Amino acid sequence: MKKSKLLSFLQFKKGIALVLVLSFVSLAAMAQNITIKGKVTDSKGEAVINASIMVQGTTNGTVTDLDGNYSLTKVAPNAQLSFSYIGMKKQIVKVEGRTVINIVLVDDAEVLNEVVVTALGIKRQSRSLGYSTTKVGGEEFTLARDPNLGNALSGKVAGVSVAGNSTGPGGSSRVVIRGNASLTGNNMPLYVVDGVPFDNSNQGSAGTWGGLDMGDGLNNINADDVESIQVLKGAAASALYGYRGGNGAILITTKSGKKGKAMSVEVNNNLTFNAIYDQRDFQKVYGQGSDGQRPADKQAAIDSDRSNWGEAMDGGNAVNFLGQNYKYSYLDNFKKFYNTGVSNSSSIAISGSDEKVTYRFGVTNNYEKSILPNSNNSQIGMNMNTTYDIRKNLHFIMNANYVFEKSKGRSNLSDANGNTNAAILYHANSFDIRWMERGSETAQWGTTAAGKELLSGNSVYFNNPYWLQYRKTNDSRKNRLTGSMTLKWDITDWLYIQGATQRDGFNLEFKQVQPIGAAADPNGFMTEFQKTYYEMNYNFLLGFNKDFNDWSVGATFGGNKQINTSKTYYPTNGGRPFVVDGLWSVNNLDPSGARAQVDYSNYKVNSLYFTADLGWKKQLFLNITARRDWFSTLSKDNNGYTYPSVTGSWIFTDTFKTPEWFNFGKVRASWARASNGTSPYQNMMTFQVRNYKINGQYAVTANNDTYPNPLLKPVEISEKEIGLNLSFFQSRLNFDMAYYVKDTKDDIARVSISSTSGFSSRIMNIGKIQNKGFEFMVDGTPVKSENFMWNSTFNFALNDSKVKFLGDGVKRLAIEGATSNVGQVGVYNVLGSPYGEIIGYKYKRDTNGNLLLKDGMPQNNGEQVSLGNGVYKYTGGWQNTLKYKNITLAFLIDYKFGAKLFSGTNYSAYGAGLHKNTLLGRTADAPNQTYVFSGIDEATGQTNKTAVRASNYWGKITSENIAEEFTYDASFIKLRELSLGYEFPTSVLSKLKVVKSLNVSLVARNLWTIMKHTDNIDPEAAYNNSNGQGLELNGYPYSRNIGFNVNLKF
Amino acid sequence: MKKYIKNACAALFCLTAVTSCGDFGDTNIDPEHLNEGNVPYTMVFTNAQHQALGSDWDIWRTGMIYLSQWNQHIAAGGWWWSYGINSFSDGYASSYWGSVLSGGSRGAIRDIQTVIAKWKDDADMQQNYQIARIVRAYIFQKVTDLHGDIPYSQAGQPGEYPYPKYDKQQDIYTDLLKELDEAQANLGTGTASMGNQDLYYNGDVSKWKKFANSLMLRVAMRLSKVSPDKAKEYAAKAYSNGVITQTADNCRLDHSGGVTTNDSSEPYAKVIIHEDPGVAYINKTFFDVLKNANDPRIPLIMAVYPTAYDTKDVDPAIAENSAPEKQKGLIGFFSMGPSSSYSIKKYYPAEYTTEVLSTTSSANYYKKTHSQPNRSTYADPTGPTFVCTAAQTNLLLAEAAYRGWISGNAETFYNAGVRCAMEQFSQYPSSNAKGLYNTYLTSSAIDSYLAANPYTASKALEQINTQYWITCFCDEYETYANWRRSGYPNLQERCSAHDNWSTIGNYGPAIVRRMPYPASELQVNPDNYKAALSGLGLQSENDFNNTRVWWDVAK
Repeated sequence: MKKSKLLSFLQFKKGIALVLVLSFVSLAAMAQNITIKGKVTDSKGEAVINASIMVQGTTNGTVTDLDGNYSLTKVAPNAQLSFSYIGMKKQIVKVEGRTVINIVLVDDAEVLNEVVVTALGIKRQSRSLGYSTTKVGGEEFTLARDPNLGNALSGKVAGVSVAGNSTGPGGSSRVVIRGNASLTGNNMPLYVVDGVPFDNSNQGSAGTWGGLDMGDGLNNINADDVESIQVLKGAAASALYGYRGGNGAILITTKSGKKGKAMSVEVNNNLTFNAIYDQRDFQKVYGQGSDGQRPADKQAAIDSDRSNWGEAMDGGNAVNFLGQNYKYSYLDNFKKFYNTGVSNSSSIAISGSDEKVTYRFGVTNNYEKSILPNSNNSQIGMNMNTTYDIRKNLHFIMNANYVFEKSKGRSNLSDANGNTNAAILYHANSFDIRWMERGSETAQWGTTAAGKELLSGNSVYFNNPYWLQYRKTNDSRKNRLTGSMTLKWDITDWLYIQGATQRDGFNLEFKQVQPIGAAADPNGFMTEFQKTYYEMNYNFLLGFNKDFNDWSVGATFGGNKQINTSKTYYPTNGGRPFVVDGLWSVNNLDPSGARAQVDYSNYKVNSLYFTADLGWKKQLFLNITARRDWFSTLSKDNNGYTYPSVTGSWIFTDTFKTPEWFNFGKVRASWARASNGTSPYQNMMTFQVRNYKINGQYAVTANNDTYPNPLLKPVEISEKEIGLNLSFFQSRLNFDMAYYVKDTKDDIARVSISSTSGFSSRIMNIGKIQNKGFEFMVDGTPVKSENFMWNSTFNFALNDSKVKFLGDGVKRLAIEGATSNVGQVGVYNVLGSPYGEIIGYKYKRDTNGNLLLKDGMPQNNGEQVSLGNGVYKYTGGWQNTLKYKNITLAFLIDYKFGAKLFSGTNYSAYGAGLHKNTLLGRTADAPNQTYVFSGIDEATGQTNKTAVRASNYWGKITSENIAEEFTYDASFIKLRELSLGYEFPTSVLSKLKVVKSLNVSLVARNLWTIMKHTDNIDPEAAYNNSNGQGLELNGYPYSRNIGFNVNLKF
Repeated sequence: MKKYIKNACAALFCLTAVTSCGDFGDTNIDPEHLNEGNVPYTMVFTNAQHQALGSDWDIWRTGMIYLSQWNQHIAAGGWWWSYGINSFSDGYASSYWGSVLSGGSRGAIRDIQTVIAKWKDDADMQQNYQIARIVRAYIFQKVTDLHGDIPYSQAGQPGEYPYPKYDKQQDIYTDLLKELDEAQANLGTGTASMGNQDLYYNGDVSKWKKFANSLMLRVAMRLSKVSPDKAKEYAAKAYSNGVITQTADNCRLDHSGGVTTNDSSEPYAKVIIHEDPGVAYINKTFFDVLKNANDPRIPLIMAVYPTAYDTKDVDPAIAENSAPEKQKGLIGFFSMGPSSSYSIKKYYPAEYTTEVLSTTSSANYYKKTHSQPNRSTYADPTGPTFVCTAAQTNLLLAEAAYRGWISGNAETFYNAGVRCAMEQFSQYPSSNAKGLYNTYLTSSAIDSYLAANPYTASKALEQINTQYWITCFCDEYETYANWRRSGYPNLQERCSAHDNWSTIGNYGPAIVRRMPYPASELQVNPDNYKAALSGLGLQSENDFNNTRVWWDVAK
């Protein structure tokens, strides 16, 4: 039984192989010696100098000149030519009688023979690697770009899950590799830019009570500067990063000048228009009002500003909150309030080299105008990458990336208070948002004639959106410098030593002002802070590489000293009231207000590490690494930990003879241990001086609510991985597969303790979680002819997690801050469940699943239970590039399956009577009639006969917090990126003399949500990028970005 | 070779040796905060002592929204009313617990345990230590009086007891008496080294001794029904040790310079004039008791604010606002709807016509005509909070004497108690308060009040405890406890004008006699929580009615 199944599976596979072989059959050939000319270019159209062209099976060959041209005589018309260049994929072409053969050599993306950058910048042959790593070329980020480089990774790498949440312009991203390995700590990978560890922490995000997303580090990296991104997925790949390697690592290499190339200038402009991709499907039948009545007077209008329980809109008269008559019909306030956003990114880069120096300087200007009025984000970035050959064997390498970012008018997310998006979303169907522009002609935006916030209703927390965007302002500025200096001495051709000083740091200024007159804060308030962050790394590396007959031996030994400092000064954190109207400065605050305050954090880590590589006949490889980290954050006798890794790989296609079409096969296996570090000041109790005097005396109390732990140790993450790389048909069809098991133990968590102990939590090494997964990538070039090429890459990843231990008797651990503002929903880690369960109330039902109604109304089940999991289980993408002559069409479809999302927006839309479901029970003739909703009457056990009003029924679902109703399958398929480019032919450009290449593309991002299941919102609309995924409420509306990209090279 | 040396030097230029890997010195000591090594523990004591009295956080919720309405000191002219008729809110019911027994920046129990652990075995800190024990006893009595069995022996010690067990109230009371007795006995003489960090008495140990004994008397008298023998034993002991009998010795916390933007102000005042202005009105029950006895305290307790009835942080300080003839008690929450079954119209038909009620502004008429706590005294954010007064102590002594537990004349104690209750208004700092005091609470006014309302042995318990109820205004925790113990005054079980309010409250009409535990304890400390519930004879905590604490015996 089992055997026959296996057999049929094999046959099935064989069938597939046959089809693949057929589809790759090439054309035929003929005879007589000829001369062949042509040009060799790279995928960007640049000439490849010194590429070698050989007639297969002969010694006849040549190389290309400075313009990439070649000429080769005495070639048999039926010969095959091979085109090759270091780092590019070798191509074999049949001559077939042609005399002109132009070839585009593509980067050897399939990492078979190429050298790749691994942890700590150590370069290794791709074929020797015993773990999974994926490289994404910089060109994949430049066309249909996303301002946040993290978001731009979406769908491109198997096992890399990107949450492109609705955090607005300048917002952050969430990139998680191979699942969440830490219960409450950081789950994002280490980012390294040109060898410099790069802080990507979110500088502020929305939580239960709202907040702004202040962006992370990845929105400060300009796509035009990115040469490539190397994703080190597993612990083995990132083990050399020791305590920082537990979540994988993403190595970003910025562009540099190339040895042997003259100066060139590249100019790029990317302009997109970002229009709202409106996913609302609200009811448009009933308008403002309550009890089935339209507002007939001012007070009724004030009482019902976000209530759609009025009459069917008939275009007749109604009264608004200003007491004016208006036409009672549907209006789309999105169109009235939001603008079309604009993103423009222009860059210019100069690169080149001479004998001693290789350089590239790039300047980028990014400007993003939000869909919100009076809100934008701009960035100026400068990137420098230089190498000086002080001596032939002594190199000085200096990199620097400087970004100045300015942002204003970010909207609050989540909680409706202060949230512009919420203020637009819930106003009644017939309410014209422009009524709120100003109370009189001379009044300022969103204010009454008396200078107060103009409100449409009774709640001071349902704000005037114009007030929020024009009067309640927030501004931030960030200066960031990331750079390094490296001195490398090649002592011999097999031994080198290098030392480096590296720095990443930024200065962030933030100011938020709620002016006098705000409804909720009549006297106004303000918050202002300045944060200084920097990390310094000082390190050295001694490297050895030598071949001994069949053996290749490599070894490195190095050390690193890391210092991290963060200091935030608050001249005021919520200071109030203002003394004089109109001056929004801390100098104008009442002196008895909040005291200035400082947050400080400093830690150091010292490390020593080594690697040892052993290769036999370039087909069997063994790699061993170990790193020991000493942490300043742990107590003295307990502060050193070792992180080892062992990897092995075997290229069996070099050991056994395989058919020609099966050109490469590698099996690999690895094991490693890594960590996630610890934060400072968790070992000792600290105290705070209260910010007031009591009857003339000072008072001091505990500084925070978490009890310290002197015996804390770092979390331990260990991972086993096996994998397979296969290539067929001269690498035109490639597979990369991996299976891994990642175990986390001693995870640091804030464990709730009884608050009667005086603290609400204590910090402990408690958690155990396991992530298991499978990654699959197939890359193929099914069609490849002179004029037409189609490359297609599909990736798929499955990650399954299980929370295994949360402490004795602990079944649930809340993820900090992951509590919805509405619906009593939170995200928890639950023993035995996958990471991040959404917990809330369900309907009360009988055993057959019927709703149990009480007096005709629904009830909750009385107990908060799991509503599903907020973390996607299946992720992936499908990327296609089609080239016809000079035209390139590329598109990326990405998908995620297997997560749930609790939608607070839909919860609110029920209460407001906006959701389409709330139509049931209302009729146009009798909007306030009662209706018998289906279910079982709990009291009688019979079918419900009690009729209730629709507004009461649907409102009851929200007042009972039946979150089940608003928990959706968050799976989606999206057409994420699309570009259509035209490369001007050399024949045209040669007339322009100076222009070497010109490429014009039509680009689009987030063009089409092909599949989703969430009502009214985008499935990726979660309001923050914290660990507690699965909560949505009042985020930025999703937008579709369409525009142009022009690239010019001189 | 020379070249090699140069190269090597250059390479080392960027190479910083990794020095002594494991030694980071003081890197992990937060330089921006005090720590265990340099914190002045007397300031930690100050925080505990200050927060022991509660803050606007709990006084708004438990103290006023629930207790002041149940005690019928206050009637809500607004949204508090449904809690007055027993709507349940976990957060409101457990907020004193949250303020002092839980952590956070208030965390009085944690902080008092911290200083006790620090001072206990330090020979130089013995007076400070005894004082801390007294404060600890004061806090725990308040919490156990509200909730019954509570974490006591293991509370506030996170290192050893992250999940404290709940102790029986009986055991807690036994220990409180022991603690107070030991503390007062070991206080010695002079001034404790904490000096002015002691907000009650500036370290004057003789006064602390009196306070400790007064608390002992309070603790003892709480046992009058459940354990009269013990009550008698400790009441007598406290009396013979010496209690607070003079107004000058009142234990109080002044709030000079207090502002309502933080915890520096008097918490009841902060709620009344800042957090929720225009909601708390003098309850008709309370007003009638004062009015019927022609009580001279009326102008100092209350005032009407016809123009500034709900303005924040403002004291019009107009003496006439306090004129006794202008005062009016509010019966409870009204509906402004003219046709509602509890429409204000039913009670004030002349003032509240349908026409008046039809517009929002005139519907607030009652707010302008009914009395609120006086913004120059009880609602003055710079005024004192009374912790334990000569008035209270004398009245408790009167009851003890009446019961024959101590020698002495009950009437003498009673009269002294009433006199002290009046005299303590002299301790309000505002000039308006002083003016009112000099006008209305003259010695002769007090004499005539006592003459008109003389001590009567046959009504002694009612008289004593009604006076206690009056003098505890704005100490709603103590009012509530003594009312439950004594049964006086005989409060009508209504806090709203609603005709049929028993159907509105969650759990029926009776005044709730015990505050439930916070729901968070079920989540975090379930075993101990459940054991405590079963000790109270409860299956779950969805009861908000007639469960009584141990000393609250129904008889």
